Amino acid sequence: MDSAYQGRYEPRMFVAVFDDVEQVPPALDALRQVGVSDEFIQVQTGVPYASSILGRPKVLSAVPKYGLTGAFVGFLAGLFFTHGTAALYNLRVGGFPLYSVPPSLVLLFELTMLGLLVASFIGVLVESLLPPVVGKRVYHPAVSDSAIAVFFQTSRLLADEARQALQSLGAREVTEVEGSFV
Amino acid sequence: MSSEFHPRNEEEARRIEELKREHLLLDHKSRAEMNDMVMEAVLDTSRDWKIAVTVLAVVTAVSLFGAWGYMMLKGLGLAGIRRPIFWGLFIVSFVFWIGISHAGTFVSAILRVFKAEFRRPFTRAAELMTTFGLAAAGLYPLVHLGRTWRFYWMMPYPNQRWLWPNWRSPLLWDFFAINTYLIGSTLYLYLPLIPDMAMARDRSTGWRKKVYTILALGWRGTEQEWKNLQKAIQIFAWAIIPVMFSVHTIVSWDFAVAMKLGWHSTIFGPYFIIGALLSGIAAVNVVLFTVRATTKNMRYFIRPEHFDALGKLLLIISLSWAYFFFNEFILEWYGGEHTVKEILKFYMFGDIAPVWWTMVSCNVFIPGLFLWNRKFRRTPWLMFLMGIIVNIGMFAERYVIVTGALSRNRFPFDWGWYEPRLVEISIVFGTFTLFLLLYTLAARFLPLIPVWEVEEGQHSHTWRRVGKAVLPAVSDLESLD
Repeated sequence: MDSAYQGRYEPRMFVAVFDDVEQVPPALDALRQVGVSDEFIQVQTGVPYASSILGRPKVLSAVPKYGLTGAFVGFLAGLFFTHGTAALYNLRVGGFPLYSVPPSLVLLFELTMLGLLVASFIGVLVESLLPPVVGKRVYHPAVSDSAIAVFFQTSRLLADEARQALQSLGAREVTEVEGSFV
Repeated sequence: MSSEFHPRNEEEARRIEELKREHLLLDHKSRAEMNDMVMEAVLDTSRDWKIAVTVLAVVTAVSLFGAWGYMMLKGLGLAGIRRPIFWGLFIVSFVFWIGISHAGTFVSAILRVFKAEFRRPFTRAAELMTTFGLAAAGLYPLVHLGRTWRFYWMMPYPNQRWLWPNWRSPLLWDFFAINTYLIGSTLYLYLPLIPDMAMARDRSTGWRKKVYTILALGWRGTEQEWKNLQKAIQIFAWAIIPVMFSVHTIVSWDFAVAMKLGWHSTIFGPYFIIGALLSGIAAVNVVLFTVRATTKNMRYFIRPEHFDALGKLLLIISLSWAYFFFNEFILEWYGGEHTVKEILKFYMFGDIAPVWWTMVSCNVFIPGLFLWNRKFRRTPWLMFLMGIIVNIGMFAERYVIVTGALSRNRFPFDWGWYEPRLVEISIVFGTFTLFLLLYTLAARFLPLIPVWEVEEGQHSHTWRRVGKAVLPAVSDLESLD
């Protein structure tokens, strides 16, 4: 296989920048028609847009699972503090139970909630891969000015067709960029 | 998002302009323009600002840390707390600052849960109050310890004989509740800040760029990032509300679990919570007015409509506080317990009466008299003044509850009178300047306006025509999946 042939088929990363969200769904349809499937497209926005607005596959989040796990761990920590430590060092005081439920509820509640909150925060970082550890990830600074950046990966062979389609649909710029989605 | 709407005639155009002047979320500006406005405010470290920071830092160092250090050196005897009044100005201020810290969560979380759109521009300014209010409150248990260096005795780990702290002690409940709330509210402040940190990263240079880059955590605004962030904000908004309620309930239990007449009341939990919300919302008015008056471009973001909405909330909460106060007062009065009657008589006609009447006037009479008036609520400087008045009232409330109840006990030989000493006044003054210092620094470092949330709100607000009238219309974009 010669290098020119290889170059035409090697996947490259491109970005199309739009100013209005209304331009994006038709642009994504155009990309699909050119042959770029959704898994090779990433949309970056300055405000959250639902998948149904952009016409993208539904995005799911595992953050609630982290939260629930954290709450459970927090609850167990609370149980250990309020009941476990009482068993570790028995202090029998006349008229008072060794394990007292009502005052334990305060600590159990606080530690359960602490676990829930901290784990949800960690969930955002882990699930969003923040902060990035290795490699350069694609980003367009115009996103923070509310532009919508559509990154897509395709071969140079299809790139011209995609570029023309996107520009005709209002893309401010379509350029080749370095980097990966994640 | 295109929101083009063409008025049919001059009358319609005039009406639209009027509504735009009134409502931030109808007065669309481009994101780039709003970013510029917010960053201009952040980068405005003028000579006046530097002088203000220096003065506040020096006053805080001397008044708070100087006085505290001196008290540690000489002993807690420097404070005015004497038998039978062992809780004084330190505990009063502790409860006061915990109350202030409730505003951020209330404004941000509850209004977010209820999708109250007017919250958008000032959630962060209020959340910052929570974090800094808790920082100020957190100092007081340490100050009040006297031997501050023994604070680690409250940490949850065993001593050399494997004896753990007493989990049934309200002091330990305080420790856990305040730390849970501090950690939770700081994370809740930080989460929606991440996209704005990315905006600041893209628009700054030098050391600021480095710091913003670290704080933005490599945020890019991908669909997955937004989804995770929104889910987490949703979880935080729901979960932080019961945490907020628990904190002030537990603070109230510091008093209520004691077998002390005047404190031992089942209504203390909700009574303290409503008091905290009253002082907190009042403090949001003070902060918003100050930010609006001293920070560039804030008049666009913080408008009379926001003071109006907060004024209504303040009125409702003031009435609720009056309801709880009346409930507490009237039942104790009719209970006929001799010592309780002595306490109530002391409140109303004794030496502490000026403080008690200040409390009633500032928390009920004055807000009730003025906050009905729309024009009053829409005048920022008047709402600032109202915020100060209510907070004087709430400080007085805590002063009466803490020191007043301790002044009257079952036997007259155990009665007393508390006078705060200079070292206590200095430390309390120092925490006020510490709060101001932290806020002044934050105002020039963090984007005080959550720009992406404002833009999201502006996208949701459009116009529609019903018959001959033009009305603003709100689409619930947040609930789309």
